Amino acid sequence: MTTILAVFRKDMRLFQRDRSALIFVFGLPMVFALLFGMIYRQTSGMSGKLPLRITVLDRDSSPVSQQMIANLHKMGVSVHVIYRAKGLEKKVMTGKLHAALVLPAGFGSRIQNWAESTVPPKISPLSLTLWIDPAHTTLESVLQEVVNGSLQRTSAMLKAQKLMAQFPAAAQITGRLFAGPSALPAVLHVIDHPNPSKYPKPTEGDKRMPGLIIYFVFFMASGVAVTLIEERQTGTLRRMLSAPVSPFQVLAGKMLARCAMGCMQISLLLATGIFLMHLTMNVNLAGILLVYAVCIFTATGLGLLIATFGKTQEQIQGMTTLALLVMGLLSGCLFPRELLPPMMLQLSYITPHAWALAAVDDMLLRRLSFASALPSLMIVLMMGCALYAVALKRFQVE
Amino acid sequence: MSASHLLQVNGLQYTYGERFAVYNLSFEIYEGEIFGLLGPNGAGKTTTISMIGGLLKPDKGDIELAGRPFHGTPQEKRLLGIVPQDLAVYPKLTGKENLAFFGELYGLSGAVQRQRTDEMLALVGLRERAGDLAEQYSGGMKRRLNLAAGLMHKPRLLLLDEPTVGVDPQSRNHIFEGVRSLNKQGLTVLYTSHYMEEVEMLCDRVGIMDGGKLIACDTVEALIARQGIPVIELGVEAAPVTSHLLEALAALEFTEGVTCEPPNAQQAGVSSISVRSSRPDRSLPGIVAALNQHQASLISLSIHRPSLEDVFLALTGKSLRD
Ligand SMILES: Nc1ncnc2c1ncn2[C@@H]1O[C@H](COP(=O)(O)OP(=O)(O)OP(=O)(O)O)[C@@H](O)[C@H]1O
Ligand SMILES: [Mg+2]
Repeated sequence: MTTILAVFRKDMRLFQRDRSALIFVFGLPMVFALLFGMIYRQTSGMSGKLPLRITVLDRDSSPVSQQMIANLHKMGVSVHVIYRAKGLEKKVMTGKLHAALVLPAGFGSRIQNWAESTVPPKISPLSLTLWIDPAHTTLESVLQEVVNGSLQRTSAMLKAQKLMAQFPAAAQITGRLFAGPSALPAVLHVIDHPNPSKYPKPTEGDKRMPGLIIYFVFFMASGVAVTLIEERQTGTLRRMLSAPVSPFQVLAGKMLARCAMGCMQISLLLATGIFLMHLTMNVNLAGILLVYAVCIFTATGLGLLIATFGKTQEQIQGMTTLALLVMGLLSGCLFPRELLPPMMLQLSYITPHAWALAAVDDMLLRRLSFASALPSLMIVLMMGCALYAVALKRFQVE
Repeated sequence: MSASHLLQVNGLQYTYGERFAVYNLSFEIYEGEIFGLLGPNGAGKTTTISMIGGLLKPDKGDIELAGRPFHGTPQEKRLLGIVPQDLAVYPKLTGKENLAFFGELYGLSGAVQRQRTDEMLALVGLRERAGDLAEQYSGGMKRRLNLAAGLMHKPRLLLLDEPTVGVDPQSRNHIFEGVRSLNKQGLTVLYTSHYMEEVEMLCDRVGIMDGGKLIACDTVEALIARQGIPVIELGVEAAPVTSHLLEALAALEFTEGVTCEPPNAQQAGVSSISVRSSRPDRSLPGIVAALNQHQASLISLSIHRPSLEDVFLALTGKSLRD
């Protein structure tokens, strides 16, 4: 028994001194619990606050349309109302707006007419259009429900008012009136990808794979850091540097090898995406591959920088795994970014992942040109250069 | 000495933080010799080698290699082969692949590189295991591979940092023989160690380091000679040891002094005579003759030579391995 206790105490002591184990056992669960806790608190049940955002273009500007907007509010949507807009559709399709709903002129009077007629009139259904950013379609069905719900609520309330005006006694049973009148015939058109007549709807793979690819490409940073530390620990780095070889050449060779591995990794993930998730390949392939290539560059820079901080391999592995996972979660690579609380959404833009994903989404989901995706791509590239600059500076000091 | 020096260091100094690792170090290594740098753990040997190899920049002092100031340029590095104290080889590469890689760093390629790899594998006796991963080698085999990797590009000056740590006598001999034969072919060697026997056996000249400083530097013989001369201990059986015998011994050529202790409890009837001789080899015939002449029979004989150990002890007041 005492020997068992001796081994137990020794293991506990070792565990306490092993930082990477500490990170894996305590750090990772903490981060997961925090992040997912915040997300699920938001999404649990419809009563909770999903981060739903709609811009409403109110062309009608009537009491009824205002009621409609108020009802949207009540259902937990943060509504931004505008009264005139040029190129609203384009703003949504290029990702500048999350979602937009247009209440056409005559919206109010259509509902009013319907509410006043006692016999269901033979009229064509009311038609509304909801535009959704092609890259943020996770909440599409929820938005659709919410808009339909608000519409029915608005029309039902109006009908109830008319009924009450006709039969005052009914005022006592207001609460049950919603179920009373038959529903307003309405059609909600949802446009969630550009030029539906020309392009097919993006596949699940188009929506999920780029994030995964970017996440795994950045995971290479860990490998870069580990091989560097390994070479430093075994003395092979010093040995290489004692040969007529400059530190730059050593690093360049190592990074080149990592890049080759990155390319193989990307090919594998792309193949998986194509066969299992119907990833679309014939959209600006060169541009998208370029984004991944820049990601490799930036990831190696990140790995290099990490290598200048850690001393042991274990330490590095723990640190990087944690950092990369947090980045993956924050940036929307591992799950839909729309679900993030607004504060974290802001934070996500400190990760290169988020910008890389934005660039791919621009081309693949929003079908924008390479030029439109270029600004995001440049940010990834600049982050990479900055990482390299700092890392090389620190490397020389050593 | 008139031979030209290949390496000269002058007032070399290096500090880690506050602590001096090497302090005001000056010595030179002549072309074609094996120079030993002897010192206990932490003496600053590795730091010195790192500076000579261009891996650390001295805080002070300068290094001259082949008659030119050394700045660590690629051409200068080609003259040097470093065999680090740590096993700096890739465990997941085979012996052959390791050597090929380090050769390539020096620009070897194709048939030249293959031939050189084979030569080096043969030199360190690893030909049969050339295709095995280095991680499957024994400790001594890894050491030998480590040595071979530093020789691939035919350096002029080989910097060997404790190449025999954790090595069995057989592997050690392999390493020694390799170094000796390369030295015969003209390779100059800087050999660091804290084993004085190694340095005594292998080196022409020795620098003794302690606490970052060079406390002595000379040929092995000269250093030892400074520590006094050898003593020949004789166990002699004689009725009594006569004063005639002692006088006869003292009168021999090369004798510097004679003392005698009468028989003690452990060795009944055996007296021990100590003859201090500057040339024990030349003294012995005379001693034996004198003993015969005086009817004293020789029971035991030993020659005690001062070693580098004694030199170190005398210079620092402490033992080399403690
Ligand atoms: N990276 C380092 N950081 C701080 N101090 C160091 C470092 N490397 C060596 N030192 C210190 O410098 C001094 C000289 O070390 P060095 O490794 O040169 O000794 P050495 O003679 O090679 O010893 P050994 O026989 O143990 O290899 C020691 O006091 C050591 O603690
Ligand atoms: Mg050392």
